[in-house]
Amino acid sequence: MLYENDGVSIYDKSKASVGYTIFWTLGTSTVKLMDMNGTIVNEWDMGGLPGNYGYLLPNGNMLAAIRTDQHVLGLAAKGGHIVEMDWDGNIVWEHIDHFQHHDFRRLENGNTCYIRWELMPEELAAKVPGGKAGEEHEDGIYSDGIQEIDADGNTVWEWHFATDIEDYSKYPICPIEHRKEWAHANTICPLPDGDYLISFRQNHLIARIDRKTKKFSWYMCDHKLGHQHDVQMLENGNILVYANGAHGPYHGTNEGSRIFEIDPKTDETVWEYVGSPPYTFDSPFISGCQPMPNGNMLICEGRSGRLFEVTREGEIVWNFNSPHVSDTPPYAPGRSIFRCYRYAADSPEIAGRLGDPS
Amino acid sequence: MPAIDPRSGVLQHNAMKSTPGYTLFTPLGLYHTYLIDMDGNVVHQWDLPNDAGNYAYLLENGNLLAAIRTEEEDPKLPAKGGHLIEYDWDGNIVWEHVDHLQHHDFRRKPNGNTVYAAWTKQTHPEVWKTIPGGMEGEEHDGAIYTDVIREIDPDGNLVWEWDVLTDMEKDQFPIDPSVHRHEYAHANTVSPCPNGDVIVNWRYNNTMVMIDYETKKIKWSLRDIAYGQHHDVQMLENGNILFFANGADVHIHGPETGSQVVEVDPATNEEVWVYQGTPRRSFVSWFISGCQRLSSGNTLICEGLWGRLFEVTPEKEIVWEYVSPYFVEYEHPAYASNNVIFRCYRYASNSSQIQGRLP
Repeated sequence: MLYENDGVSIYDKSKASVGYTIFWTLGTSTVKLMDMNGTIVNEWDMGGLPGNYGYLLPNGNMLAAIRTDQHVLGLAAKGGHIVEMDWDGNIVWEHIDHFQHHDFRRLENGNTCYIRWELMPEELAAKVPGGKAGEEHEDGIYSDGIQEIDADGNTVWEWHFATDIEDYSKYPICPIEHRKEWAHANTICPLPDGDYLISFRQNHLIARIDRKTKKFSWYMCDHKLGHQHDVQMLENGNILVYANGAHGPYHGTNEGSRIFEIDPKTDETVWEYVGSPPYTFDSPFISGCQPMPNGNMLICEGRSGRLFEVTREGEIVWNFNSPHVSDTPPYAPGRSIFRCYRYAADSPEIAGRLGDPS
Repeated sequence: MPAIDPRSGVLQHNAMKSTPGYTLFTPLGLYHTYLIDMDGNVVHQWDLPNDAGNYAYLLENGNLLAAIRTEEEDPKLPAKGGHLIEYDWDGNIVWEHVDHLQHHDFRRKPNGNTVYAAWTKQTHPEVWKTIPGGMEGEEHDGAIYTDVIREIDPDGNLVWEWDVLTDMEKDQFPIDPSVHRHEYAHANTVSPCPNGDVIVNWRYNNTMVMIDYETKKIKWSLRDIAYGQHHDVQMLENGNILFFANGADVHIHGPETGSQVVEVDPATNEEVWVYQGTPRRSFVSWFISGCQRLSSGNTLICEGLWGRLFEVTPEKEIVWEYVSPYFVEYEHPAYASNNVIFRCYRYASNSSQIQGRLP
């Protein structure tokens, strides 16, 4: 059952957090910014496919990663070319690392961090626990690293899952997943103190990396996360995560995606968004969430290209089913979106460039 | 997935290509079985005393055979029945049988006997050791519930029994690695073949088998984890096997995942017909659900999760589509706000199930 009513189908102006929403449909070459009615107000022609999204910087420029054709083929969400474009689409900064994938963030000090693949030495690959035996990549097993570079592209900090974290056995790959990656990092989220939050899909693992020791100062490895995405820290110190619900513990009508707000001191879930009924909110891959200034949550249900906003009580106050369809395999005829972000009209990302988004 | 799909009732009806008849279904969490015409009008209904466990269907004598969930011996597992009831057209009980651990499926055989699936409770760790696979330590309140297939005569006497613990080589059929060990292994279909053999399908080990009625040996099996567990396995008139492949607990990574209806040739286990949604993600039900090959060659599909019943041609064109408007509007423990349906069946107006009772 799929009902793809195109465009904005719900919009409660009194409750929604009004702003402009940016997204890049997978399998297309254009980053789009739209108002609350779904009208496109700016576009960036990227000249390539997403790896895997783009977002606005406080200077109003747009930071995105584009897929390159060199190195590491056959894995999902490859990027390789990180570009910063001004409002008019001129490239003002770029960095090429063909091993970059999924996520990249501009830091407050002007540096940029991103995730990259690193082929594991055979002796370490042999230690990778779990997954389906024999389903390695033809090159072996690719592990994940974090690279932090300055504006000139010089590496200023790095981290390597394969060598900085030793006790692999605590984080086994899901038994029905392949062993091509250790372990498919899909989110890198810099924290104010320089630490990082990271999310690994294949082993239901989210973790905080201590910048100095490079060890996990907190982690959760739990199949209730269901191959999660977009882990982040809220201002109150809690952890927000999009729990996809893939290969999770649910069988029946209670299945679907969830947004969890987790108190890392107790690992308890202090807030949760679940569909009503649960199966009506479900994206087994990609997807994300963003807290709004008014306390609402903007959610990207990635597979079907549905972006929607809910109140703290779970009421849907804005709903958008993307009409933008990819014609490029493997996403055609999909509408899938990795992440979206919303910016208020008076935010530094937007102010002075556009008028009223409502 | 959609936020809110406001549509229900008949969404599409191509009268030239669809197969006329009446469609029977029992919304889970509600206490009614409905028979609707091609326009979605309810032409007859039966009121049930409790939740169905898990469906009802019409017998050739026009009566309705249903399973009703009893409260006794409740293992808190899905699709418990316990009370088999045969109602006449007017809702009078004409036959019944109580076996509190009956679950999911039950069929009347041509000889008047009834065959069904039931749980048996295994609490002994020595027995658990013989049950392969699943997530370690995830038994169900100190037990694994294993399946037994029972055949009773009209008086309720047990005339045949097949026990998965003693009659099957379990090592060949381990529980999926991503699934708990509550059950071995959640039989959801018991389907007698014309020659008396019995098809049984288990969800949690992705296994369907054909049991030789005389020897109780497995004479055919199909186990392919890529089908993502299955439901409603049945033999067609041409000898092929038709089933609903849910697509649950398979490697899910990408936009085009979903359920399928599959016809295989049991001589080779090769697929001879497959229905998928277009786009594929538009047809997804990771639990329950079923399929029925109609006299026209079309296939009626129950996409159970969404309460969606639809008919497709061999060329996969949708020629009739209906979404159940019967939502559970109270705090049901399993099905609140749902319109889910386990299975549906279509009967032609000149079928023995209907003829003379409706125009």
